[in-house]
Amino acid sequence: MTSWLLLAAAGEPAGGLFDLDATLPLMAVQVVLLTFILNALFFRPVGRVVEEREGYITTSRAEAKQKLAQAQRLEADLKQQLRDARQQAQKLILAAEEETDLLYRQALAEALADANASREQARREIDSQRETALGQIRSDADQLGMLIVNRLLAAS
Amino acid sequence: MDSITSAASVVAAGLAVGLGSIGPGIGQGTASGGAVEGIARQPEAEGKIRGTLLLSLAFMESLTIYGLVVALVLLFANPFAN
Amino acid sequence: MVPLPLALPFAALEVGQHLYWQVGNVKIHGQIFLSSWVVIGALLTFVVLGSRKLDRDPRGLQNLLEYLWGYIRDIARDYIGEKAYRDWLPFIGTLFLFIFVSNWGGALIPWKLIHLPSGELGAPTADINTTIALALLVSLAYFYAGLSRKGFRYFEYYVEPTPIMLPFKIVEDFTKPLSLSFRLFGNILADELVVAVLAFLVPLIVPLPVMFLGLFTSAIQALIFATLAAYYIGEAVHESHH
Repeated sequence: MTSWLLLAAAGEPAGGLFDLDATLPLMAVQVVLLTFILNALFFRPVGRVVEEREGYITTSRAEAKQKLAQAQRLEADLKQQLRDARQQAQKLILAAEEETDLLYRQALAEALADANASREQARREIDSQRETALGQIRSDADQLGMLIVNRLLAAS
Repeated sequence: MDSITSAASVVAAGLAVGLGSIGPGIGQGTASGGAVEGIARQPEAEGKIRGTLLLSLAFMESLTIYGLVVALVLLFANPFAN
Repeated sequence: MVPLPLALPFAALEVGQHLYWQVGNVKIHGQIFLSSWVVIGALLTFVVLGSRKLDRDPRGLQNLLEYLWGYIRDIARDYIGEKAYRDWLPFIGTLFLFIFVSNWGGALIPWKLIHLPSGELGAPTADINTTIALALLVSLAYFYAGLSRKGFRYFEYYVEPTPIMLPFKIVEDFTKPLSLSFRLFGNILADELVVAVLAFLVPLIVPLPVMFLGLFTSAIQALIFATLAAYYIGEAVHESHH
């Protein structure tokens, strides 16, 4: 490679595939210039935009994550509250049911007692009426017997 | 340039390209086969395997290109011409 | 150094003919500079148009620019490392963009419509001067990167695993620019030659697949050049012991 460089510098520029001359350093300078121009026009601004966006995305994602965590916490809170309320309601319902049951039983017992009492009274009344009626019938029968005996006696 | 030199140059150019492509051809075949095996075994590593494969294929390819460059020198910039 | 010694059947191809310009007392290849100015002009126009109104919500060309930026950033970051890649991103990116636009411009722009007195326009990267210039820039860049980051400790890299490696590492410093420049030059020139030969033999349709293959190879070569430049710089700035 170096020998070609020397050859190219020394020899006549007669053409050829491997003709090295001042094109080489000038092209190198051109490419270095292009590097600086592209750095100013392309790599730096586009890199800044892309990295800004990446930063923006990272922060927004972090924010979103924070918000999501907050929302999840709130959700958990609300769920807890809901569960508490449901338990309370369950308890209330249970208590109310027990109370109703109790009341129902009491009412039932009272009604039964009432019914028993009135039945008892009715029976007693019936009994006493029957007694009286029986007594009356008996006395009536006695009187009637007496009357019959008297009539028979008087007739005979 | 006399006819012997030009005949020898043309034959040598053909040999340079022809012989120079045998070894890299075998090597590229082996490398590609290995890469395909690797992809078949681990399909999720395909991107990485492909990058490495391209790079190593280019290295092997450059050996052929050296032969081609020698052939081009012999054909178009023959140092034995005068 | 010898103008077309052989009368080949595709002598219509002008290989190794240059349009010489006299600048001071040196000669330069005019056609290379003309086509490289077209390439640089296209690149700058694209960049200026795209970055005229940069916004957080990208619109139009800005998307493409940002995609390119991210692509180049990934190359630089993967091969140079998280710490130093910012300094070298513009260099790697300029290499990639310049080589890519040169290669595709050489294949896609109908240069033949413009007649020069001597030589013909084409991809600037199909000339050995351009590729050696780029490769030497890469060499300077990795030396500068290593020396500026590590000072004279950079030379520890030459005896890094064992001192036996010293001659190999020194030879490597010469083969790196050699292989970089010849790979790019050979690939692009080979593409142009193959397309030209096929177009000379069968002018219609038949060269098209080869042209598409050439476009693919050109893009890959630009990527390879940028990747290797990044890899060499990364190797130079890499701290092996913490």
